[in-house]
Amino acid sequence: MTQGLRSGGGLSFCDGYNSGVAAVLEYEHVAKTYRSLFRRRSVCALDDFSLSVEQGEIFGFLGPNGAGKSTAIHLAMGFMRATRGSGQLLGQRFGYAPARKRVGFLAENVALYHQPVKDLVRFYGALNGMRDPELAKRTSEMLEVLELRDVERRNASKLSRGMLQRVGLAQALVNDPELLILDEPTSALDPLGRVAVRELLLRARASGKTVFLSSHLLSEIELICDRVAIVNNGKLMRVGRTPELLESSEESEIVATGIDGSNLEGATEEGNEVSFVVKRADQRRAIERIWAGGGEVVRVNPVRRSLEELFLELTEDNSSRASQQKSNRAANGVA
Amino acid sequence: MIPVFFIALNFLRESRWAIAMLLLWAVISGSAAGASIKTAQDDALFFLKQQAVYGVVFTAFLASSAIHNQRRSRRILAVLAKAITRWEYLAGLELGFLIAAAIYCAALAGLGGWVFHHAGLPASGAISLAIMLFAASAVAGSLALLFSTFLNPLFSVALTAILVALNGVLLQFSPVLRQVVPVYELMQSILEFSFEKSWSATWSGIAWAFVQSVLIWAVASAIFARRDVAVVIE
Repeated sequence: MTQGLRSGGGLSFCDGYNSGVAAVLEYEHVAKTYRSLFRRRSVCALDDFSLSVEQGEIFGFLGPNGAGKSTAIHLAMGFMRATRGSGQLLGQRFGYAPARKRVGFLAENVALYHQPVKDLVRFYGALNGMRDPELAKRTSEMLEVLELRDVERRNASKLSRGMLQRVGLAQALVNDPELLILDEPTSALDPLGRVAVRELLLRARASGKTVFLSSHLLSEIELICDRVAIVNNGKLMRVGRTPELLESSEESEIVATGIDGSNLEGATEEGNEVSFVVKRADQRRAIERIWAGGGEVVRVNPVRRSLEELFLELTEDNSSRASQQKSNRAANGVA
Repeated sequence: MIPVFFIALNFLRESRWAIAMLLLWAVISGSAAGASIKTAQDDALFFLKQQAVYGVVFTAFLASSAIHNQRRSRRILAVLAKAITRWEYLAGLELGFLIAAAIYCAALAGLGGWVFHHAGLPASGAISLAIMLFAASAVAGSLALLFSTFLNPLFSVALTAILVALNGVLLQFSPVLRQVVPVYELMQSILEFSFEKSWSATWSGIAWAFVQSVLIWAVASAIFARRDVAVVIE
């Protein structure tokens, strides 16, 4: 581990998360503005973006199209330069080529040369300085793991998008990277392929590797990611541990018996139990009302949202669904 | 350095059809020239000079479109995601088009030698011509590659052509500029080749051409290192 990584260890931005583990990917107040020719038009893709990805975690990176996810990834890989701010990849500044030797990258919309699959994986491994017999061994392993044995002699141009994505993963993994940066790695895979990749990523984490995963498949992110960041309009909206993010600090679900649920908006009845959601600030008042009305409180839990709900809440400005839920909860708080 | 060779070989592989077509054209027209050289020596010379001009123009086009094609297809991302510096990447492309130019020049030397030999003329001139052509192609290709780091391929070739022509114009006023971007001087020398007149290769121009190719590559690398290679399509 480099001194740079040690000094960066525990540094974290925005979420106050501090695991004491070294940061492998770090953005510090990064901004990126795309300018047209003669600078007449400019688009701000990232604005004051700070984020830290710790070693050994699977980090989910979410955001709607055009949010700045790919820009953030491309900056880390050194494909482009930040307009402002700086960042580190494995303890080295963005764009430092030798650091990429320990990184596996898969771009969104996999674009590879038209060569036989096995030659292609070997080519990308060789670019990272790998030589036989290690290269031959790793190539063989990757073809096996990603179920590419049957097509290893076939030209990549003749493969389906799903198979091509597998080849893309093989070239990203062939150098046995410490850090995997994957932009939509399973978007073209069938369910079996997705499960296989998910297991692959979990195995990578178990062996101490870090995975930075950008995906629109929220259920997948929710399932495997230790931490999640949501970005929108170039700004970091939320970052934190997945369970904590999904657990709302603002709302509670109250389950009670002996009350009439028809007076409560959004309430659901199951047997003699009525459950409804209130704002955390109104929780005490709601419980006292239940008791005052002769009812019994069975349990009070923080509301656990799905990642999809959180995503919509943070990224949809005028989501009717979110506003409907909010109005229901506000009404229940004073019911 | 090994990745540079891999990138160069890959570039050649990607450009193999264009190179093959040019070689095929040279072989067909060379064969036709060989068949008629006994009766039309000037036609055979014209063939050689014409192919030389094609070679330089072809190299410039090949070099100018290299980065553009890789960026447009997004294949550049998977390559630059490896432990490859920008200068290594450009060195790979430079080596790639130089090998393509060398193959073409060698083929032309072979064909020219055969054509001259067939006509009972000294064949050694063909080798000197090929070396000069290779040197001119190296500078023209390097310039086109340099301009393609910030311009599209067509403008890169156009700017290369303007620079070469400008050098030709400026030569009228100052012979000192002869060695600056010596494509014009080398091509002029190739086009002046004749069996009757005494002719010798301009070796100083060849040496300057190789030195300047390296310098131009270094400038191109410095510019390319500051360029964004990914165009976000979000």
